[in-house]
Amino acid sequence: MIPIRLTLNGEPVEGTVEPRKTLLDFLRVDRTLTGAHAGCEHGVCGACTVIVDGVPVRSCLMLAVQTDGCDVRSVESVAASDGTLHAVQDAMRQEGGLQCGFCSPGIVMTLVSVRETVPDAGVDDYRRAMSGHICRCTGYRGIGRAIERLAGVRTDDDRIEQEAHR
Amino acid sequence: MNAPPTLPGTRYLGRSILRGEDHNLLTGHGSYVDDHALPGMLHAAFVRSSIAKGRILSIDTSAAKTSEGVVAVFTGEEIHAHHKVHSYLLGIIDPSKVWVPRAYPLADGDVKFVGDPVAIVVAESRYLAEDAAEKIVVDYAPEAGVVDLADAERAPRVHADIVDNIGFRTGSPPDPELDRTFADAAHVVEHTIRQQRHTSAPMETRGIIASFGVTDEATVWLASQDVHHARRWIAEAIGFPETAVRVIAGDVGGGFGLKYFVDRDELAVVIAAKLIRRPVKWIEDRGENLTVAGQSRDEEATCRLAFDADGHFLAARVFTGPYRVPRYGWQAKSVYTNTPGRVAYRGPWMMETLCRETAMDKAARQLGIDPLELRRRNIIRTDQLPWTTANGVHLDAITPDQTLELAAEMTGYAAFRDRQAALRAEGRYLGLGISSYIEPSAPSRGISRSDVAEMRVEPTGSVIVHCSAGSAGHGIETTMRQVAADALGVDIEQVAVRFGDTATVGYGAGSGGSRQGMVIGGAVKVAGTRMREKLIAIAAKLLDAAPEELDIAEGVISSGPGSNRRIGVGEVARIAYFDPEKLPEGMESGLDITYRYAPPMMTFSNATHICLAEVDTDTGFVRIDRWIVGEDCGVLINPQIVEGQVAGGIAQGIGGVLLEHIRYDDEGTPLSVSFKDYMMPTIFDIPPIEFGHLCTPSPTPTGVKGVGEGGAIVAPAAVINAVNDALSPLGVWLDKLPLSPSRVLAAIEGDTTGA
Repeated sequence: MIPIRLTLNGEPVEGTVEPRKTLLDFLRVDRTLTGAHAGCEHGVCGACTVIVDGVPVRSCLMLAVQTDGCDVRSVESVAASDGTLHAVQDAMRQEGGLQCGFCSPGIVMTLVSVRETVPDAGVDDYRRAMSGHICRCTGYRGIGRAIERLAGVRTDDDRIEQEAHR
Repeated sequence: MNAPPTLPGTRYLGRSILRGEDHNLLTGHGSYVDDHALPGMLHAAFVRSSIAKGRILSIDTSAAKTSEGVVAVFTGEEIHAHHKVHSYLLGIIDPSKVWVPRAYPLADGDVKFVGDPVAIVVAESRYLAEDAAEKIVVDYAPEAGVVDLADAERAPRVHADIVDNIGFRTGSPPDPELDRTFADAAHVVEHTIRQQRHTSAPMETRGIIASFGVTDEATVWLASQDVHHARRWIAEAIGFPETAVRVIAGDVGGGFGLKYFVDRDELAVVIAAKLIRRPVKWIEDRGENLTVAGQSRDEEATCRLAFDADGHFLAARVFTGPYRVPRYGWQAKSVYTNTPGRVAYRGPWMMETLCRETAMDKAARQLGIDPLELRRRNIIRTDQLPWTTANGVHLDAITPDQTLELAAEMTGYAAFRDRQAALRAEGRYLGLGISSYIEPSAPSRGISRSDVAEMRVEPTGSVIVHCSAGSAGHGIETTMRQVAADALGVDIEQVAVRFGDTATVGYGAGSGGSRQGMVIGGAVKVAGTRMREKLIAIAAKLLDAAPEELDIAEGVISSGPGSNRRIGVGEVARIAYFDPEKLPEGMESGLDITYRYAPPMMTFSNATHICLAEVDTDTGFVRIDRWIVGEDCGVLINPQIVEGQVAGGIAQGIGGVLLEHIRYDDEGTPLSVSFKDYMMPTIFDIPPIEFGHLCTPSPTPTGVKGVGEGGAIVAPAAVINAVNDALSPLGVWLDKLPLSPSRVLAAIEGDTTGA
C-alpha cells in the first residue's frame, strides 16, 4: 500500500492505495465520487475523463499513485456550489446533449478543459476534443449543438426560433 | 423545418421543456447501479470458457478458495442446486413452437461459446475476485462447434436437448395464388441481404447488486429496462414468491433491448448472494459486454417482389411495410450456434425493413424507374385510408405518402439528381438513399398489454405520479411531468414522476417496444383527467358553483380569470385529506387516482429517411453529408426529446451499416473484444439531421405514437441505398454488411464475393 497526497476538487486529500488501483476506482470507491464512469476501462469511450493538472485524462488508464502531488478535478467540482450549472453543463442541457447521461460527465470534463485552455475555442476545437468520446444515445446531435453554443455560433434565440418553427 | 400543429389549450405538451433528469446526470450525481454500495457488500467475477464448445473435465478451485479476500467460489454444481426453473418463457414464447434449451446460470457440464460462465468468485473487492478467478484451472475436452449461421443445421448439436440446432420455423401458410402471381408477373425482383452481427453496447454495461436479508426476501439493484419482468424472472429462478423480491433500477445508462432481460450472469450473482447472505455486486466489464452479453442482428433475408408492367406491386415475399401489396407471404427460421445468444436490439421490424427497402432500390434499378417514383406508385396514400394490408392489419391515422413527399421536398430531390449527374462527370460519386416504413409501435399484448399510473395529489398540493414504465435515457420523467401537469392544470414544478422500483408501483412493461410515451402517457393522461374532475367536484362544493363553471389553471380552480370564486389546488388537497367532512356526499377522502391503460394492440408511426452520401472510390470510404427525416409519430410531447430519440437511432443505423461488427474466427474465438475492434460511431460519423414533422394523432388519450426505435429501424437501408446509388455507374450492388471501406473497395474493383 502506498500513501498519496493530492488536491481533489480543491481540497487536500490523503489516501493509501494499492499500486495497481486506478484513479477511477480511487475516485469512485475510496472517495465515493461516482460521477466518473467506467464505460470501457481501456481508454476509448471517455466516460471516466477527469482533469489532472489541467489536462483531461482517462482515469481508467491512470493509476491513483500517479496522482500523488497532483491537482485532480472531477465532474462533481464543475457546477457552482449553489448548484448553478457550468456553461458546458448548461449548453448540454439546453440542447439535448444527453439522454442516459452515462457518458456525459466525461464529455463535460473534456469540453470544460477546451474552454479553459483554448483561447476563443471554435466549433472545430471542441469537435476535435470529442474524438475521444463515445455517446450511444444521442447520435451527437445535441452535443454538436451544445458545442455550437459554447463556440458562440448558436444562441438561445436559435433554440427559441427553432421552437417557433415547430 | 416543417412545423407540426400547435396544441391548443396545452401549456407544456408539444414544447421542448428542458429535462428534469439532466441536473443530476451532468453534475456527477446520477444513480446508476455501480454507484451504489451496501454495508458488507462483496464483489463477483466470473471464470469463463476459453473454447467455443466442449465438455468440462475438471474445475480446480482450490487455489482460488484460499486466495486473499475470497469469500466463496461456486461452480455450476453449487449454483444449480438452488436454481428452480430452466427456461424463462414468461408467456412471451409459445413452447410448442419454439425449441428453447434448458438454461442454467453457469455451464452445466459443457460449454457452448467462448465466455460461457463456468464459475463465479465472490471476494472483498473486484480486484481480489479477479485475482482469484485467474487461479481457477478448468480442463476441457474441446469439440467441433459451429460459428456461422449458414452452417448451423449441418453442425453438431449446440444444445444437447435440441436435435438439429433449429430454434423455430414459422411463416405464412402455402398460397398457390401467390405462386401464380409471381409466375405471371411482368417483373420479379429477387434480393438477398446479409447483415453482420452487432451488439447494443450501451455505455453502461450490465450490472447488479443482490442483497438478501435473514428472512427470505431479496432486494436487487439492477441495470434494467423492465423491473417488473426482472422481479418475476429472479423470483422464479430462486423459487420465491414474486412479492418477496424487490427490483430497483436507478438511472439506467442505455439499454436498447439488452437490459429488457435478466441473463444467466445476473442469476448466478443472485444465487451466490442468497448462499452467502451478504450483498454481492457484479458490474460487467466492457470485454464481457462485447463478448458474452446478448448480441443482435446476424441475419440473412431473401425477399421477392412481383410488379406489373407499370411498376405497381402485385405481391411480395416480405412484410409489406408502407406499400399497397395485394398478396404476400413469408417464411423464417432461427438457428443455434456456438456464440452468445441474441437478445432484442432496437428495434423489431428492422431486418424486414432493411430487406424490403434495399429490395425496392434493386427493383427500381431493374425496372428502370427512379427509386422515389417507384415508391410513389406504391405507397399507401392518405386518401386511401383506412387500409387493410394483405395480412389483415388495419391501418389508419398514418401518412406514409406525405412523409415520403415531405422528405423528398426537404432534400431538394430533383436538384440533388442534377448535382449528382454533374459531379459524376468530375469523377465524384454521390448517392441518395431512401428508406420508408411504418412501425407497429408500442406492441401491446401478453405481458406488455398495459401500464399503470398511480397519481396522488399530496396534502400540500404537490403531485406525484408513480409510473410502471421506465426510462433508460428516454426522458420519461420530463415527458410524464408535461402530460400530468397539463392534464391537471398545475405548474410542472409541482409534479414529480417516479418509476423503476417494484416496491412503489404496480405491474408494467418497463421501457421497450417504443411504448412508454404512448402507453404510460395514456395512463398518466387519464389519471390526470380523473384527478382534475375530482378536484373540480370538491371545489364546486366549496365554492358553491357548478362543476362545469370551473376550470383549473396554474394550480388554481376558478370560474375564470379575475373571478373571486377561486381556490388553490393545495387548499382543496388539504381539505380532501384532513377535512373530509367538507367533501361532496359519498366521495372518498384523499386524492389518489390509479389508471391502468391497455392501448390498442399496435399504434402505427411512419417515416421516410433520406441519406445523402459520397463514396471515395480510391479508399472505399463512405462519408454521409446530410440526413433528412420526414416523420409522423403523432403528437410530440417534447420535440427535442423526440428528435433525440430518432437521431440516436439513426446513429445506431449508420454504425450498423458502416462500422460495427462482432467478428469471430473459425474456432468461435471473438475478435471484437474492445472498443478498439468494435467500432462505435463517433461525432465525426454522424451528419447533421434535418427533421420535418407531421403530427397525425393516434386514437389514444394523448394522440402519441411510438418513436423510440424508428430511427434505428429505418436508417440502415437509407445508408445502403445511398452507397449503391452512388456506385451505380460502376455497376456495383452491395448486399453484404458491413459496408467497410475494404468491402466497398473490393466491390468497386469487381469483387462481389463480399470479402
